[in-house]
Amino acid sequence: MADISVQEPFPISLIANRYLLFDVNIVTYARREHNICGVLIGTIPHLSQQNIFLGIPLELMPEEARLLVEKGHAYIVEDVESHKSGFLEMSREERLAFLQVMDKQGRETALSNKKKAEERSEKALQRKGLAGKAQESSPRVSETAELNTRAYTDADAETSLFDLPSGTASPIFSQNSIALEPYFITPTTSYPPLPIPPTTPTLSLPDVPRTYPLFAHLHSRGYFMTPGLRFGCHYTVYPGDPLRFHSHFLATGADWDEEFNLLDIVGGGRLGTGVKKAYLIGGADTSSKDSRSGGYSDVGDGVRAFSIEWAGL
Amino acid sequence: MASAIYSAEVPSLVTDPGTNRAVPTENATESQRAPRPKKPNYGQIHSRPLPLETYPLPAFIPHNPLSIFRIVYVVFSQLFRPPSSHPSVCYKGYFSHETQSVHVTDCKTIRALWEKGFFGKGNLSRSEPRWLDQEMRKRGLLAQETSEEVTRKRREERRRFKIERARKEREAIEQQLREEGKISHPAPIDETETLDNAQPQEIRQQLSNGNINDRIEENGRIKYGRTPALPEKTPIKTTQPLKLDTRHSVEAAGIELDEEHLQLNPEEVLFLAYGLGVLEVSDQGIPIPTSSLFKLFCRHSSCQSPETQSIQPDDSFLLKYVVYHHFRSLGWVVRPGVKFAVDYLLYNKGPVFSHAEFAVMIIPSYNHTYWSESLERKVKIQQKEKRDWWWLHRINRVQTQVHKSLVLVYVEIPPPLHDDGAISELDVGNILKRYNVREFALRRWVANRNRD
Amino acid sequence: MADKDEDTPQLSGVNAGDIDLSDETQDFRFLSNLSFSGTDLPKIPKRGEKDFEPHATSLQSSTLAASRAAMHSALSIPRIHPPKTHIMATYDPDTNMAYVDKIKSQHFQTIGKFFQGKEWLLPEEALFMLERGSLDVRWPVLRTADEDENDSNSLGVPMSLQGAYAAFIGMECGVGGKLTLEMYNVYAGLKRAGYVVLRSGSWNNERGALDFTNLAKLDAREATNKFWNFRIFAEIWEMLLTRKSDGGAERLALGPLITPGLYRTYDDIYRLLQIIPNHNRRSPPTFSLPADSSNPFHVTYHIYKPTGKFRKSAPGPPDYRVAVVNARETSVPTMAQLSDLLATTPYDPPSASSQLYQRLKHGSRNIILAIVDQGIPSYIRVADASFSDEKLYERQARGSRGKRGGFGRGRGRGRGRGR
Repeated sequence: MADISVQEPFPISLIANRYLLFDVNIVTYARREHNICGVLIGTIPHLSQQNIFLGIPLELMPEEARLLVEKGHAYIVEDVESHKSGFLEMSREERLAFLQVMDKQGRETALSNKKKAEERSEKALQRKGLAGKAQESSPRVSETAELNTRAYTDADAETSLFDLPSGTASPIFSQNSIALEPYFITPTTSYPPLPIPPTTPTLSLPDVPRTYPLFAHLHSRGYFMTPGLRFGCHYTVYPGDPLRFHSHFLATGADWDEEFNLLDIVGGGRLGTGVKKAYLIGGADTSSKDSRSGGYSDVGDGVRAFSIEWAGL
Repeated sequence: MASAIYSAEVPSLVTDPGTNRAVPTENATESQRAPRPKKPNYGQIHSRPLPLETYPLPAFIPHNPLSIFRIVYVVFSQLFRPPSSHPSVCYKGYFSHETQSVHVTDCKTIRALWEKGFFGKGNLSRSEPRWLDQEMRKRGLLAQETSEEVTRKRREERRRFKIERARKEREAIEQQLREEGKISHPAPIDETETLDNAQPQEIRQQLSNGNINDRIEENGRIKYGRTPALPEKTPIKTTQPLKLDTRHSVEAAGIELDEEHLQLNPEEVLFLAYGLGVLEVSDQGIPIPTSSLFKLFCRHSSCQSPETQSIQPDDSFLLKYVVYHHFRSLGWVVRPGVKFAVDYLLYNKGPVFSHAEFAVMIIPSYNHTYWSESLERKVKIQQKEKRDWWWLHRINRVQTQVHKSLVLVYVEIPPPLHDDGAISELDVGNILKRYNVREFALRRWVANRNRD
Repeated sequence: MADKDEDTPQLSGVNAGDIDLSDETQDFRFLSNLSFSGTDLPKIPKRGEKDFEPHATSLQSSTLAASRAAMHSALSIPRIHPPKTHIMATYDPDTNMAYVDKIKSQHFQTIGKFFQGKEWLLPEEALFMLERGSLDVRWPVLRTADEDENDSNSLGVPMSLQGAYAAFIGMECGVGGKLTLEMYNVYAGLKRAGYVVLRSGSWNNERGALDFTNLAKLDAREATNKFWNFRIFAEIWEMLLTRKSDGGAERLALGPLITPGLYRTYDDIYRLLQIIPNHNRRSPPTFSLPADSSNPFHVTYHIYKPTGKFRKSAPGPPDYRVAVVNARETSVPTMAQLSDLLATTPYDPPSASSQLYQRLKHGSRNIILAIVDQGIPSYIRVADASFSDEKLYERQARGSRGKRGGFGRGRGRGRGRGR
């Protein structure tokens, strides 16, 4: 597939103090071009019974959002406001126009699904040695419904949302005889119908914790990072895309003069034992005389990092 | 008692934890294939949970009249000559300013303290004082391996295994690169990876075992860890119940002194002295009374402690001792937990029987209104009692990796007795009673597994 | 010498049950294989082979590209509602909830509340249904005076996923509710795992009520135990035969607590050593702190296992209680906070037949903390562990000692052989 390209700077939604991305193209682009992978927190339709593969939206750490903004790749949009004004006060004309667009899409979807279903049953019949169009005994199965039924294995009544239509005889519809009922669609992003909003100039840079210098430092060296709470660190650090690589470091940031318990070093070292990871502790050296203005993301940014390994084994 | 011959655990050549049987070595002193020595009877060696003796009455068997006579006899004889719970001569230890711990050098005392409750640590061993055995083994006089040696072998195995695996991976990558028609020079990264792994291992190896023993060869005596003020180490007594050949071997080896001593940390010392009354600590020959001992340890508890006389209620030694005493008094064997990044490990019977099930981490709690009376105090306690979630996950994850359960122990800190924040040093027991301990057991919860 | 903790190589020999695949990012290629081919039921993919570090092979880069493409496809799956199964809800900005007119009863067995003729959904319920593709939420239509009430023209615009987040999460503070993104993360995660998740009654108050359940039963049981406890006879017997020194106060002040004397058992010695006060877990719960809205620790959700017996009208006591906190905005609770939080959970002691370690780990009260760090939840179960109630020395018979004198030991409670 051709590489997705996105126009920069792209918008980041700010909702209730969190930074989210809803456009799948932006998600893929940010990952590929800027080594920003975020955390997928949404449910993938029809795969809602597992927590291993999650979908849109992508939640960005404030560090990630800030880095993108600092470098000019993205800008922040106050999404709650734009939705309030955009949808709750939408004019009648806009509404009807959009509904028409959705209706058209819905019909197209219904049509293409029907075609695919017919193709599939055609193939199945061919395999069985029978020629001809779909017979009346074949159930009308859409691709989506097929996915749905396969997705639900549980005894949960709630989840058997999309019942397979019963196999009773249904009259044959020829393609043009009766208008298909359109499907309904829940879009992923709000553009359309809203226009892509410009950045709000009064929005300041995202607030970041004290570990930001370490984050920026590691990012500038090509590492990918995800939140590392479960592992006992601020960031799990990958040498490449976490889809394909194991993490190398479990990184914790600290202030240069911050006191910490030596026992913590032991803990960190032990953490990586046996799992081929090293514990990393780092921060910005604020003891140097030159003042640092702006971001920490250049080389020579004064951040030091130390890795710790347990020698006991 | 049994300091000498036993069988250690030898790992098989894969990385499984070892089976518990010793293999006779290629030692020259064994002319014939000796029968496999039995594992020492830990149940018997460690039959006393504390270094005190108890005298239970003989069992009362209702249908056997003799049992009554037995009981009566024992009661009366004990009436006239009551046996004592305590050793006839108090155990002695010496406070070392350098190490801020108490050293015990008498062999019998060392054995008693280790066997009856697992107190202390050999300063040249990982836990039980094993230096002498290790030395003798080194000189080929002892057939079985100590656990340190077992570990060293295992580490060596693992290191070789890792290098081999890295080499194979590297080759696979090179192969792939060659197939794709890229240049045939291996990527530089791969080289350094194995080299880096190799070098630090070498250094670590030396530090852990090699160096010390080498120095013995040179000098015959280590200055390591000794202060001039300490009395001479007791020479290895031949009256010690060692097996015959070992005794001769020790002399033959030319080892005059057991270079190792038992090191007791402050909590253990206070428990043995204040709690059980079996230990007497001296400083440069002068015995230290218990209350002064208490003060001494409080003063030394943090490296930045000033020379002030006052002891703060949240003194870190005090907190540690309160928790130590608490678990010891419930019957647990409490050992330091540094190796697992926690304060203490709790053992059911002792480290020779099973691994520690619980790992204890102490958190001070400043709930009393005194601590929030002024802003200054509030700020100070905030700093001391605050723990972040990453810290918690870190130690919890470490414990999970080694199959232990994390127990957070909150210690409720009382307000100071006097206005100046000092603690009266005369009443140790009542000071301890003002604290309150509350334990919480933590466990990671996984959503899917608990469904059914 | 053996030291069990030293000798066992401390590699991560984790049980299969402990592995949580959601700990690491999984390769989406496994997902796409399952969804679009065949009729296989989606199973949890085994741990794939990942690379340790980048090397310059094309194989690696093409695998990566394929993986990313798979992820992109999965993320692009549209939320389509065939007419047969279409459920429509309308957003209500005043309450930040959504209501449904036509109910398909199957879907609302565990969510929603029927009120004034409509089924009302809480924001997290509506958002989750929309997110998984089961619900079509519409923005409400702005009514102007000159509009007629014609049905076909009063259909609202469909809410996008982005709009749903902006509304249900973003606008929540506007209505005084407290649903945060963290709470939603936890809600959705638990729903996906199959649980029924209900808001606890106390989630939007500062804290719930003190929970006194099961304590009355406990007192009754204790009383009977004491009466039938033959231990009393043994105690009297031993008291007659043991000689200990006096001087209690002085002993306490300067030690030693155990003065030289004649002790029959180690239990006697241990009992004398117990001077450190410990929290009494059987006493009725109390609050240590005053009610404070800034205290982040309160029970957020009640969780029910998916046994199929759940009834919305009578849920019964939950299987688990979850308190949701944000990792960056809170720290590990102080004892007072933890104590107050547990005081709102019921007394839930371990079963009498369990072993020592299980009893200690089970505790007398428990709570599950869900700590969320930027979208990733981590669950930790915290239990009030009563070490003082499970005295180790009482559970151990020292092998070489033989039987104790006296009439033997009877205990009201079951005596597990501790290990």
